[in-house]
Parts: sequence; C-alpha cells; structure tokens
Amino acid sequence: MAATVSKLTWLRFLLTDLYVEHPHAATLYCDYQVALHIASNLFFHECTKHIELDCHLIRDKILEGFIVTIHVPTHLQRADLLTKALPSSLLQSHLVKLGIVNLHSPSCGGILRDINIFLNKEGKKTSSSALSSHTQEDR
Amino acid sequence: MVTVRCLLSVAAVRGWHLHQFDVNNAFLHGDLEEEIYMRKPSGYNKGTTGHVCKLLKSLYGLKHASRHWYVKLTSCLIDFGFTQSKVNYNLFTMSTSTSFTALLVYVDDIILANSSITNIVAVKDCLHDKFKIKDLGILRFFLGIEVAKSPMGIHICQRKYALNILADSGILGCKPVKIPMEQNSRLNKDAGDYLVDPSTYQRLIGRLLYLTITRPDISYLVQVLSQFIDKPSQSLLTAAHKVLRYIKSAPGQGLLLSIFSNLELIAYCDSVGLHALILVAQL
Repeated sequence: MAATVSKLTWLRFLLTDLYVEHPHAATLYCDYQVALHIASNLFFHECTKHIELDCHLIRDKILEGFIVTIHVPTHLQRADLLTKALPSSLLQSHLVKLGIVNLHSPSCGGILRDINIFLNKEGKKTSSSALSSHTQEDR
Repeated sequence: MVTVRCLLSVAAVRGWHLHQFDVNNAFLHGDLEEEIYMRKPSGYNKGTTGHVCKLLKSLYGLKHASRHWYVKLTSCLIDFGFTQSKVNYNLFTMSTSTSFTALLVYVDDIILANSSITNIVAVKDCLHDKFKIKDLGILRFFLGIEVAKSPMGIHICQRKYALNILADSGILGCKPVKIPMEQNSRLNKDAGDYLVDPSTYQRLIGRLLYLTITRPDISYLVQVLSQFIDKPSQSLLTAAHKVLRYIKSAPGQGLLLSIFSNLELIAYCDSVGLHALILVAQL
C-alpha cells in the first residue's frame, strides 16, 4: 500500500508538470480491510511495530487530503489482474474495465461504446462523490 | 513508459496534436569536454605510423557518447524556453498563455504534443537548425508501440512486436488459448529437466516484459516466470509458450485511452502478503 501511495505521489507530480489540475484526492481502493483500518485509525498502531514507517506515510497522505482510501470487495479488485492467475470470465471483465481492448476484433465497435459509457458513468460518480465529501468537510 | 502512457492519456482528453521525429546521427552532435584520441581507422594512410587521431566531436562507440548527446539536447531545449520536468528528466514542457507544449525524449526519438499546430512547426524548425531531424509526421509508431487515434480516444498496442515474438519462437501457427495460465497451478524451480541453453528462455522473458507496456494482463505471469530466469526448466518454457498462445488469441489487444476520462487518479491496491501494486494508469 505504501508503494502504491508513493507511486500516486509521483504520478501527481507528473500531472502537475503536464498542467493537469487534480483538485480531488486520489482514490485508493484496497481489498484488505486491516490495512485500511491501520491507515485510518491510530488506535491500531499498537500491533504494528514493523510497518510503522509505511503506516505513517499513508496516514500523512490521508490527513493531507491527498488520497482517500475505500474498501473494494475482492471480486471487484482490479489489481487481481496483476497479482493472480484469474479464470477466464473474471479476466475478461477486468480487461474491459481497464480499457484493454482488441481493436482488430469484429465486435470492437460495441466494446468501445460500452467502455466509454462505463467511463462516463464512473467519471460522474467519482467526481460527484469527491465533491460531496468536500462539502462535508467544509461544514 | 508510464510517462508515455500518461502523456498520451492527457493528450487524448485534451485533444492535443501528437507528432514524432527522430534526430539523424544523434550521437555525432555531442561536444567533447576532454581530449580523446583514437587509433587511425584502417585504410587511412596519412601521417606516419606513430600518429593518432584527435576527436573534435563525439562519436558512436564512445562510452559517454549518449551522455554528451543528452547534455547537448537538454541545453538546446532549455535555451528554446522549455522547462525540464523534475519527476522524469525525459519530459520537457513549455507553456504560454495560449498554448502548451510537451516534449518527450527517448535517446533520439522524440514525441511532441501540442495544443496548436503552429507551435509544433516552430519547435521542429528550431531543432532542425541545430541538428538534422527526420520528421515522421503524426505519431503512429513509437518504440514498438503502435498508436492509433479515433474519435473515441487513443489506442496503443504492440501488435507487430507480439507477432514478431511469436514468429521468432516458431509457434506462429499454434492454437490460441483463452487464459494465459491455469488457476492454482504452481511453478517451481526444482522441477529438474533443466534447459541446456537458458538464453532462449531469458530472451523470451525479456521480450515479454517489454510487451507488458500495453498488456497488463500478462504482467503477473511474466513476473512469475522471470523469477526463474537463472535456471529455467522445460516446464517453465512450456508455461511461457502458453503465455504466447494466449497472446496469439488477440495480438492486437492494447490499451484504450478514452477521451471521456476525467483525468482522476484511481489506484487499486492488493495487500495480501504485504504486496502492493498500483495498476490503473487510467487517468
């Protein structure tokens, strides 16, 4: 998780160089609830001697409003594509979600449309949820 | 490579023009800081036998030729008004009130992204005066990655590279499979039956690693297979060939960088066994 956060920090710097504004916090989905609890709650610190440094890094970033951690159930975990051998159906669904398409397949036109609809929806959803969290903080 | 994907996805959303060019004889442009002598090339008979040649400019084959070229190009770009990025030294950016230019350098291959076409011409002319550049026009093929632009977005794939791997492994006519690896299958090191010549396997894994740029779906397997690179066995080679057969099922598969994305960072993290990975460059 700490490695992911460092990478996110780097990407954000890169985006700044490309003059892309990123006003919202980056969303970090994780399927490991224990890690999420440790990251967001100081109470759990007692039992985590060995990963203290990583823990503080993530906590600092959360407090800065740099990332938002959200739990994601395992079957929706897109990182599985990179860490496990998946069954065919799950593999296909993850591929489409990540925007990996075969441009040469005959059905590609339909897939492209689906991806764009999916991204459109997701974009609206994340931006609106980020906005609502901001307004809550303002209050 | 992350920077390339990042630049392309931003360019897709913003609708930037993407152009590409490379520099002719790049390493010959570098200036030398110290005196370097070389033996006379064979066939050159002027001077007596004890004489050597003194280099005036950098030359291919020098140990620091690439560094000289990099220094020269960087100083030239900074003089032109570009700012070098701190996060990736290959990236140069320049922004004015009306336009934004990004320039991504890989040795002598350069991608130029710009919001207006006139600026592209200006930058190219400037570089052409200093070095001789070969204008390759609109970005289509960069470091083995094919780039295709459509109203939906930018699609990047490595179809030609994938087919080359298949052809070189001699299994171009194999039967395609749907998944790259069976679930729950275990690969272990001490299977016996070691390959006599591990270099074939090593080369294959090296090429597959490069293929993961546009195909994250095989990256897990390639990472697993690359752990055994020092002493590969026959079973591992079979597993690698299975990955190739999976690639065969869709060699043109690649990433679609959609124009509808809202340029937000989303990361997925898998903490099982304290193993974290970022995956989505889906900005």
